[in-house]
Amino acid sequence: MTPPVLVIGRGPAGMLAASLFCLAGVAVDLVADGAGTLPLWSGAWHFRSYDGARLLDDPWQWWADAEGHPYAAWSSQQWREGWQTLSQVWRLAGIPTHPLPSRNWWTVSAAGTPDRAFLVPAWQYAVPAAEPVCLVGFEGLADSLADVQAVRYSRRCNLRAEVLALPSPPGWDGTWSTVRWASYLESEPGGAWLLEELTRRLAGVSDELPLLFPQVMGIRRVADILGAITRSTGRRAYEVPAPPPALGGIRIQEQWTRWLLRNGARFRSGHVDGITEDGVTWHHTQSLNGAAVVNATGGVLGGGLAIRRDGSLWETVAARRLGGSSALGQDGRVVTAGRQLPGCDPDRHGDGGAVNLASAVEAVRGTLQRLGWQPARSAGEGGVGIVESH
Amino acid sequence: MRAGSGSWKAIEPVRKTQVREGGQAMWSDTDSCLKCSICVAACPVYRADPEFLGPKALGPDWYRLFQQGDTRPFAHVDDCTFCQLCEAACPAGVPVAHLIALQKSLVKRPFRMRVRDSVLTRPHWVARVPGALGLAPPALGRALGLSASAWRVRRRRRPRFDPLAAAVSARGTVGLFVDCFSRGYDREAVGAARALLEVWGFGVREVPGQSLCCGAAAYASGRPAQAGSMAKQMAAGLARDAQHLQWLVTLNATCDGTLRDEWPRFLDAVPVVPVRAFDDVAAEEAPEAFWRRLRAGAPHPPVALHTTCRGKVARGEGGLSRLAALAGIAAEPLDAACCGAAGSYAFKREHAAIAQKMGRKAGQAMPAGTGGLWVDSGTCAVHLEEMSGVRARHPAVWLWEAWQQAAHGPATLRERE
Amino acid sequence: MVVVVGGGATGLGVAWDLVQQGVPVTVVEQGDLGQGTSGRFHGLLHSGARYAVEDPGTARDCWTENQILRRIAPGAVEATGGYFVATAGDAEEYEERWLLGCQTAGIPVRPVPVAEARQRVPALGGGVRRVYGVPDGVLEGFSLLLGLAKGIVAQGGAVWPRTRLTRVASRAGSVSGVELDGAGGRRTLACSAVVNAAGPWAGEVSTRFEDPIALRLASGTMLVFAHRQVPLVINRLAPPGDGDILVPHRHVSIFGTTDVPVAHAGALGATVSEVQRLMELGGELYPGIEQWRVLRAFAGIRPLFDGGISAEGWVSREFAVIDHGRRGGMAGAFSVVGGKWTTYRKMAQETANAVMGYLGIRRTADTATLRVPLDPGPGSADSDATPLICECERVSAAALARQNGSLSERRVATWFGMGPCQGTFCGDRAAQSRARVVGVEAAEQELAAFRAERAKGMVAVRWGRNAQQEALQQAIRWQTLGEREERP
Ligand SMILES: Cc1cc2nc3c(=O)[nH]c(=O)nc-3n(C[C@H](O)[C@H](O)[C@H](O)COP(=O)(O)OP(=O)(O)OC[C@H]3O[C@@H](n4cnc5c(N)ncnc54)[C@H](O)[C@@H]3O)c2cc1C
Ligand SMILES: Cc1cc2nc3c(=O)[nH]c(=O)nc-3n(C[C@H](O)[C@H](O)[C@H](O)COP(=O)(O)OP(=O)(O)OC[C@H]3O[C@@H](n4cnc5c(N)ncnc54)[C@H](O)[C@@H]3O)c2cc1C
Ligand code: SF4
Ligand code: SF4
Repeated sequence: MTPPVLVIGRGPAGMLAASLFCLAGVAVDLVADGAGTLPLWSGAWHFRSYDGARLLDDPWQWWADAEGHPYAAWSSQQWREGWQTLSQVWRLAGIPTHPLPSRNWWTVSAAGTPDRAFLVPAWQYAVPAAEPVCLVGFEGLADSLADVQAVRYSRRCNLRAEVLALPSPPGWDGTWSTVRWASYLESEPGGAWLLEELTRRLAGVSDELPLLFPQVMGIRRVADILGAITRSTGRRAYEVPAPPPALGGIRIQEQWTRWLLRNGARFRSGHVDGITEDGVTWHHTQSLNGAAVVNATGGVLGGGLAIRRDGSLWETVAARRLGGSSALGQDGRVVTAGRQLPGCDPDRHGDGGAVNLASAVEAVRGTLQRLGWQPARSAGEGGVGIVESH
Repeated sequence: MRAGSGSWKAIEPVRKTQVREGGQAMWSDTDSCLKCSICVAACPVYRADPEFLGPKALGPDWYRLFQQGDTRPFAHVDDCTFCQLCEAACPAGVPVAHLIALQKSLVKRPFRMRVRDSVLTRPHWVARVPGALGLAPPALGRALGLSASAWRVRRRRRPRFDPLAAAVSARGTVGLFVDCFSRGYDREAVGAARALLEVWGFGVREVPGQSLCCGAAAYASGRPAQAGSMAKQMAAGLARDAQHLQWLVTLNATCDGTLRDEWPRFLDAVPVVPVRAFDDVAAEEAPEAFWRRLRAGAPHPPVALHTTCRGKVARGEGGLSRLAALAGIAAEPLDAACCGAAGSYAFKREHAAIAQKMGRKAGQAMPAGTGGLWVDSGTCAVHLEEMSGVRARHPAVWLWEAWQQAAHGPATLRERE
Repeated sequence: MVVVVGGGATGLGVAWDLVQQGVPVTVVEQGDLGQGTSGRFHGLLHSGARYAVEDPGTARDCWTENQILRRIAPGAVEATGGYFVATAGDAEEYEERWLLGCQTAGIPVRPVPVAEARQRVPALGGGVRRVYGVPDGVLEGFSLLLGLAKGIVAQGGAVWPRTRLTRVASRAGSVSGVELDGAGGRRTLACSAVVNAAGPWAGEVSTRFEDPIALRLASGTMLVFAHRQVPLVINRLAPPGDGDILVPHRHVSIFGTTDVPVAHAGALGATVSEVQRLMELGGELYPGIEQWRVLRAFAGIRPLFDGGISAEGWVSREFAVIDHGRRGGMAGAFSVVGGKWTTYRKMAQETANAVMGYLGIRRTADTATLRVPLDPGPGSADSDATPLICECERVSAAALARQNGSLSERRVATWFGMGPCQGTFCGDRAAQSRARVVGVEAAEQELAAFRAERAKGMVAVRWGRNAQQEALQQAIRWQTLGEREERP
């Protein structure tokens, strides 16, 4: 029996790589010592949305003349197919998204400032062009003060931003985190309370404006809740991100994990401490066989990279000083995907999503090629396949 | 779940148990918290129980105050099930659940509750006299703070089959680790697992020879010191009874995680021989012919799979799916993080409402047309069956039944040899 | 009217003493209260034992003042006690001299069995040879500073932060007024005496008295660990040196210090090499220190008065009150230099005596018996009906709103933003509620200043978990909150 491919890490990069293996009919184990960073972000994937301090409108343009970037060679066709693949994987997993745009969508950050993103979950606010909005705030949700967000929004966009202030719900106390808010709002009394307060206070808000709620509108039932709001108020209703615990990422992580499990992927818990000829060693002494290894252990935050006291950067899985993580993949058996790639700084560039996507696709394609496996396209699953190289 | 997690520390492995503070174990990474709240996102109780402050506040935040000398426990800390999902999610290796258990140990409880907990945290006592629970009048249970669930537990008997005469066998002898719950109430699972192992060619010895407990229940109830001494007793028992066996097969995911993970890191004990979970053993050791036979047998209705929380933490998820696939049975993982049973948690009256709420949610997640539920823990199985009405059994029981159907009775046991 | 220059322990102490005697005072502080050495110290309420051998005068002063502070400011003192710990490598001969010194200074010392010490302080390594208990304590510097300032104002004095003394005017060789530069622009203030309590800046200020004094400035770096790793103060029983004191301060532990000569008082900031050195020294006593989550590093500047160099090259921590009029400078100009936080009251009293002598006023009140009005410490009101802004230090929106001033000042008063997340989550939350009061733009400026201050403490300790924290903070700022300032 051939051992499965081992993907180390179950952050977004690891999940995507594993999904592609599943769709190619390859057995895959995700080995990880933590949940990964999805619960920290809304789940809207960035595609070169800013460069230093500059907000970028058109990622295609940027990639067209990118030089020295690990994915500079990707054609626009490859990107298009890559994004398509991701959105289809998500659709299969029950994670609805806005349609794929031809440019970055306009979104709104947790602080209320305009932001850019590419593949955006359907519950999150995203439009082709910035427009006047109505920001909704809850008393007691200190992460999202709608009146402050509105000032920031209109100052940066030169557009009207109205405010709808809702009270804090019965039973609220100062310790409520976003998850607590979401659990309450998706309970029956919570949903009823919300609709009642909304209809009571909506009168002052201009008719046509979309309602932008903080990202606490339920865990599993977000579509129902936003749908009910639209039905009862006649307005578009969306969320804007909030700081962690971030419901967007939590929803995606749960749905995606479930889909992977249903499709035969195996999740294994444990810390990987080394890569060997036949797979990896983990739990300090034991070994785990794998036909190939994809290293998707994230950056410093995810645990893949460590900064030692003397300031040197270490690759934690291979326990060696980093001379560029490509050193790991020299024999072609180990490929890296995700945050850990040298030369990529999602904070600075707003392309964490794009790099996750491209690196996962490349890692899977490279692995399949090296093993001489043909991706088994499964028409029944919606025709999703691995992106062909050009 | 790791010692010295994803940082430079991983390069020089450290054990969690490092120094002792007034007899209390002190662990590494207790001060590592990044305040990211990933643990809060992972906690099933936080979603079900509006009073519960959640793992971040109860774990690292509380511990920081504790180190400053404030030993008061937070409200509702007892609502934590010790499922450890928070700890398994944490990117900084904080022993979140264990810090919470430490905090539970500081809660002052009324006498009656202490009496009840002395019993519940020693399930090996209960396992010696399993009938006792049923004999006591429910009123007494209520007085002691037991939930109604505790009364609904029924003993399940060993399936009828003739074990092979001698436990000598071509593939050597392995230990079947009989946990307290299985010993007292689920002989069915023990018998089925034993029969299967024998079918696969192993000699089997049930260990430990006497009723002992690994300490899991005591730890979960906030009695780490008691858990430590129980673990050591059990380790000694295993050293006596299992020394010459190849490995141990566990049936209960919580005990499995406790033996392999908790013992060396938190309880200063080690199992004498390697420990393997039943589903791993089945997938890796059962001969291909066995699976062929199962697949050729009558079609089975689709089943749902529940990997218990401690199983997810210690080993992950997807092992049961692999078994079902090998057996040719359509299976769907149950969409539930923790069913709320959590060992003896659901048996405590103060937890009944939350456990029910979590269990109902798990029950609602049951896919339509499910013919049965595979669960790798006896107490979870009882709870889920109560909540969903679907027959819930250990995978060993399901596999044994499928095998019997496919092979028409024990005659084939010999045929295999 | 007396003008006191410097809103640190000494300056506020002098003003507090003077207002008690009925002398009108104005304290001018160029930045925020405690932004000098008084806000960047180790937090140790010395028993004096640290100086028992090299500096008997200071040792005696410390012990006396230690007892006084416990009485007059109990809310700002945590009576933890302290250990002096000798390892196998530390000289026994020094131990004897030390015991003798403590005896001479009257500092009570109690031998502690090594086993007992290790039981109480598991962080101590195996190489411990001898342990003594001393009455060290922990001094909550900011609480005391804020209490003094409040008391001064309540008694009719004035405290002006963000006001810099730029010139001293004189008439016939005597002080007649000062020129100040503050938030509202330049202004003058008539006065009959000026007290220079400018700490490391005292040399610079003294030039305005036409009688410059020479100070030796040395920077001391301290490391803050995220948790309280020890229950009491730990000193190394060896001649005073680098990395010999660990102080449990509220939830954190502070380890230090170093001693690096610097040219001017503005040279603040911990360097990587000093931090590395501290970590190595720490390892000798605390084997687990590598595993401790470090939070930040900071440095304070010691203004040591050159008058007091001993034969062994040790610069005394003893203080000096200088009457510039007597030395040929302006009459009515005084400087107070050197000393310790622990001895601020005594320094203040002697300085006030000199000033009152000059003004011809008699002492009527004794600050040694006068309670300082302290606010209940930070974090004491954590469960009100407003959202929690800072989860690490449990500071609610209401608690934050009760304070005055900028985000940074509120940080000092409430400890918000000082815990493990270092402002990752609470920074923007606090700025949002602040924006409701001062407007978005001003709040964002305050947030930027707050972030810059927090970031400064993290640069020299970018490793392990702290590097992880920084990575999280970056992601939250740039990706979640969409902050877009130009970055280096
Ligand atoms: C606050 C925040 C906001 C963000 N916002 C956005 C956004 O708006 N748009 C966007 O496109 N991107 C965003 N990102 C994503 C980010 O930029 C990265 O792309 C992403 O976090 C990296 O994912 P990853 O899969 O590479 O690694 P991670 O998610 O970090 O996962 C690493 C995985 O590896 C495992 N692991 C590490 N070491 C080991 C080991 N030795 N053994 C076993 N397992 C190991 C960990 O347990 C974990 O499961 C955001 C990230 C954060 C933190
Ligand atoms: C690293 C280190 C650790 C220490 N640890 C301890 C300890 O643990 N225990 C202890 O007892 N002592 C300790 N000390 C000593 C103690 O901190 C100082 O002695 C004490 O804080 C000095 O207070 P100060 O008010 O004299 O000076 P500062 O606190 O420095 O006050 C001077 C103030 O004057 C202001 N100023 C300067 N120029 C002007 C101007 N022109 N106009 C207006 N304002 C001006 C400055 O901004 C400053 O705020 C330590 C010192 C250092 C350096
Ligand atoms: S305990 Fe771990 S998961 Fe929870 S907040 Fe702290 S670092 Fe994050
Ligand atoms: S152990 Fe389980 S119930 Fe307890 S805090 Fe952690 S996740 Fe929640």
